[in-house]
Amino acid sequence: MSTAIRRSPAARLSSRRGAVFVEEAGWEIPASYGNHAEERAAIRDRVAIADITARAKVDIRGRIPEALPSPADTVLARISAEWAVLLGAPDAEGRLIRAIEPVAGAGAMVTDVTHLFAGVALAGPALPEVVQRATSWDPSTLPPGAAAGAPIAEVRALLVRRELPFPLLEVFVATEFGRYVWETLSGIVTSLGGAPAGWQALRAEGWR
Amino acid sequence: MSERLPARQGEAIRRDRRIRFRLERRTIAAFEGDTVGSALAAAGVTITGRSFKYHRPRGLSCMTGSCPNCLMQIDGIPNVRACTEPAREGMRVERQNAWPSADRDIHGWLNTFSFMMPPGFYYKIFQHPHWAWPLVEPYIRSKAGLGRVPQEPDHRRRRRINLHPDVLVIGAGAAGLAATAEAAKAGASVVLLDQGREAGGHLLGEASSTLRSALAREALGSRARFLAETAAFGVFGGGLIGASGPDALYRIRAQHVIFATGAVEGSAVFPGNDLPGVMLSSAVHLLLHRYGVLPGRRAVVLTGDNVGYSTAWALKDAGAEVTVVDLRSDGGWPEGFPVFAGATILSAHGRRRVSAVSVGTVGATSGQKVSCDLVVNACVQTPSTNLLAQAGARLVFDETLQAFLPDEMPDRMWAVGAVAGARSPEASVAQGRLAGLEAAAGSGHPVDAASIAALRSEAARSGDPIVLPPEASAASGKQFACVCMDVTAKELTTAAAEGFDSMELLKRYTTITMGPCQGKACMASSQRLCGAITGRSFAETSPTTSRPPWVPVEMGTLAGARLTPRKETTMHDRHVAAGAEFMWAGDWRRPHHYTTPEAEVAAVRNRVGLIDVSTLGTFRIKGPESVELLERLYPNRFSDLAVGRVRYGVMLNDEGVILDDGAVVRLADDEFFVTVTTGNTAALERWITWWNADWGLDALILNVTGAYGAVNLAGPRARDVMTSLTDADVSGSAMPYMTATRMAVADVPSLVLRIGFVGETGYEIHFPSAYGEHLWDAVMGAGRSHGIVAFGLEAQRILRLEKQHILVGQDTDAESDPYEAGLGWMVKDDKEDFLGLRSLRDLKERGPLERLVGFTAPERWLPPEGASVVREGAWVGRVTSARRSEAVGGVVGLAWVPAEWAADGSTFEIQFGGSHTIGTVRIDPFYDPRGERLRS
Repeated sequence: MSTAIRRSPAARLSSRRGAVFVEEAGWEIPASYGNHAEERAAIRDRVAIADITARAKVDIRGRIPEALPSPADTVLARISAEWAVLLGAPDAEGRLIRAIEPVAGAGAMVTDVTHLFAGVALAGPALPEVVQRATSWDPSTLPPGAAAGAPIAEVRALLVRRELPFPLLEVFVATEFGRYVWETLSGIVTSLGGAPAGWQALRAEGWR
Repeated sequence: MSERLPARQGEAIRRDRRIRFRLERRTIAAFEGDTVGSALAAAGVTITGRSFKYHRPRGLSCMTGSCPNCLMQIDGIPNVRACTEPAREGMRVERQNAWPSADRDIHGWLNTFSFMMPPGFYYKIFQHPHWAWPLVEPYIRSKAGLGRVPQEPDHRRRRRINLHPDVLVIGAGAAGLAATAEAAKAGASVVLLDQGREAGGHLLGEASSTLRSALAREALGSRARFLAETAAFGVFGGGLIGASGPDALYRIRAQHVIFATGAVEGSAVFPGNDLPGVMLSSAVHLLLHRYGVLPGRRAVVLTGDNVGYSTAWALKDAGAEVTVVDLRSDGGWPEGFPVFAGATILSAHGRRRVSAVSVGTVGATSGQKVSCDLVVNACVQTPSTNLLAQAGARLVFDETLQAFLPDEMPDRMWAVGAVAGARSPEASVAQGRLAGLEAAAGSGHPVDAASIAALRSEAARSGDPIVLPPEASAASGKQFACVCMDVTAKELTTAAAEGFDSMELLKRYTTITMGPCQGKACMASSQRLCGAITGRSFAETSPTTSRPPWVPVEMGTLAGARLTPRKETTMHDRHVAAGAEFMWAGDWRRPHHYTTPEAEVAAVRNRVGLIDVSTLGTFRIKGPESVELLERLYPNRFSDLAVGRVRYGVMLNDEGVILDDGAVVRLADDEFFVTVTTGNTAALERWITWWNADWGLDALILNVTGAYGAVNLAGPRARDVMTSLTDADVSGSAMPYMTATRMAVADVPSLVLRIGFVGETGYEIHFPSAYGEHLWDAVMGAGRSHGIVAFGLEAQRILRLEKQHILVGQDTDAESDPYEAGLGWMVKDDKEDFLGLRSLRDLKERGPLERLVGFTAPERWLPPEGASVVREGAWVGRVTSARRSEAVGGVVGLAWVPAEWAADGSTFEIQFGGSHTIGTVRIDPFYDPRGERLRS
């Protein structure tokens, strides 16, 4: 029997775009699409799309403290007073749950939702144009570092705007919409002259 | 006749770049930058189409896309406005609504018999005898038309783009450009729309391009985004502006909106006012200055102010012989032309093009004949207030300008330029700058207060009173109030006499303002005529209600980019590789079958099968009062459900009607794992969350559907396969029916439920969805030596039907209660409360009226779902599911029948279409009635 490996729902679609996969923390991750320099250039100069489904995701909801600490190397996406999602590196969900449960309090439900959401990162200066074609939601209402629930490609999504030297939006949708959303957004990105980017390029540009 | 002029400064055409296109059988030479209309004018084509009803010849009139006169079929697309459509090499242009050609249209006879077609004639005649109308109607429709609908599908890709600027400016004329420049300079994000290819609006028709160039540089050199060839077509709820651009639908939600929509020229109403060669002054200016075309050599210009003289001068400078008919009698007009003062055009004459006009005083029936080949209307300006009205602006009549103008604007909206009554470029620019600054300030950008104060005085409206032509001429002949729908002044008079005496009634009865121009060309003249007929003034005759779309929008643009959200499981690619035929199940794409449903059923019954059931809705419910929540949601009891046990439950609404069913697993004292039907997941998430909030219970609900993949391994060899996949003890004694155990399956942490929808030994494996492909491969690999097959939805439906397991929503409907559905055994009506309890008590006391029962029927005919159950020819019930079953040897199904028939062996008749069969009631499952295989 082969080793148990976790795979994004859009993995096969990435394969068709030339993705080179590596195994990292039990996940099959699209490390690159064959041209590292071009992928980094897309992030810096135009727009890139990356499959970040492998991110660890922990849902915290209920009566949760106003100031919820986020462990090192994580992103705390606070969507509302009663809902937050903690994002981390692949396979970090167990560690994150252990770290957050004690501080979340008894009134909170902490759930590993790593597999609940497929994730896509949209990065680059043309990000607003991608968003304009994918949703009626106004991205300017989301300041850097903030998170919100909004529709993308007519599907409910969790959006996290990152504070990086370049515009970057992490989009999380229900796993069952993963293939559809990847297909739709990558179509828009390509039509705008963008390209898919792997984790190597994203990380090289400072994304964690 | 029209002709191309020598090159001039500021023209839009590139004379060094020639193109050719086809007009029917003729080749038309044009220059790059020409529109189809300008190229046709330069080529001397006078007739651009035939009118909607009377097939009268029509020619270029506005050159701004505001009238219906030049609608043409271009490259197969009907109703393209030739006057604004760019000419392209090789395009195919056809004139519409004519046969065999627009030049010699055989249906021109309709014009002679127009007396047979008064307003509403289709309501009045051909009604008796009744059989005549179906014969006549197709003929009438074939003669009245607007081009042919293309038969080929339209494969163009359209985009749907959402914009959220600080400031939206609609219209890139002088006012719009000035507003854009100021708002953008102040730091606001600005989107500027214009339906033209270039910014400039009416300035494009001016001989000098100095002001236009300066404004365009100032506005478009800023950080504003200019969307050319993009027209706002409607204002919708919440301030949403819809705009249509080249292959794109824009949905714009701006903080501030500046309407610089300008004004549309209208025609005076006199006999022959629709003849080719009768034009608006805007068309003359554009033809002269943008396209280098002289539209006529002998022109008569009708005007009521000095602005009309600029048109006269332009024509004269281009070499035309010009006569002016001035509605004013008090002098003050410029020198240089023969002028008929205090006069109007009484009628225009000609057959295929205007050849002369009769000029006389208002009210006269005849006057002096003046030969001409061009008549220019430079006397009626109608502010384009439609979008303003849609936005909620209050319009009031301005006596000086003789027009309805915005008086009160909604919050964060401005009207500037000609639409607001500005009569000079200078006033337009001042109004635009003022609005731009105010909008920027409203968006939080710093602006100079002194600039605002200074602009306020410049922006004020001023000018001499407008003198309009008479509402209609006293001369005889057809004089058109509405050229789109061929409605004459006389027809309006007739309609008003019949009692349709307001604009709204006239519109509905005569179709006035309902044509392609949507009132742009005819609203003001119609209002004035309506007022004159009914004894009211122009001011007292309100325009009709403005509704989107203000400009025509292609259906494909409205439909936009085709987004069809679809759900797929993480094993989707494995199903594709296995050759699955897919079907829609709600939003899901699910395998219907891989080989044949019958073969898959046989494999499950005799060996082992695997089905992807990740589509099941799953919820995690946790909290100290999670038991209480379930107790109130379900008629079942859950307080006594042990940890690790599974219970089948049915959820009801408060009327006791079945909403859904599924399994409830107790994971811990305060935690449950709940499965629900695929198609009901979202609705049930809302339902459970809503009731939890209403009851104020301390329980949290999380929809974890996508988090878990799930497969059902079923069949007599399922346990053998499971044993090779896990170290856990999966024997019947260690893991009996209706239990759940956490275990590693193929090294994947899983929750395994011993349940079975298909009636065999079964393991429903729920696992983190990202392991989908790994787990599918592992199970199929382990099952290979046992003859495993993947089975699809159709096989599952047959298998479940053999067990009489119901599908909520298919076998139940909005009136099905658990007693009648044969699920009364699960109702614990001794509980204190649950949703539907009160109704169920009443239903129990009343007793069932009908019952859902299983039935068998002979093999020869498979009744479709929905087939009628009949008694003595009357409908008494329906078949909800039916399939052929090899295991049973005939048709098996479920049907609603009268309650008294719910006994083994009862028979009933099933009918559908012309077929019928006899069903025999079977209360117990058809297959393995004691459930021994299921529980083994």
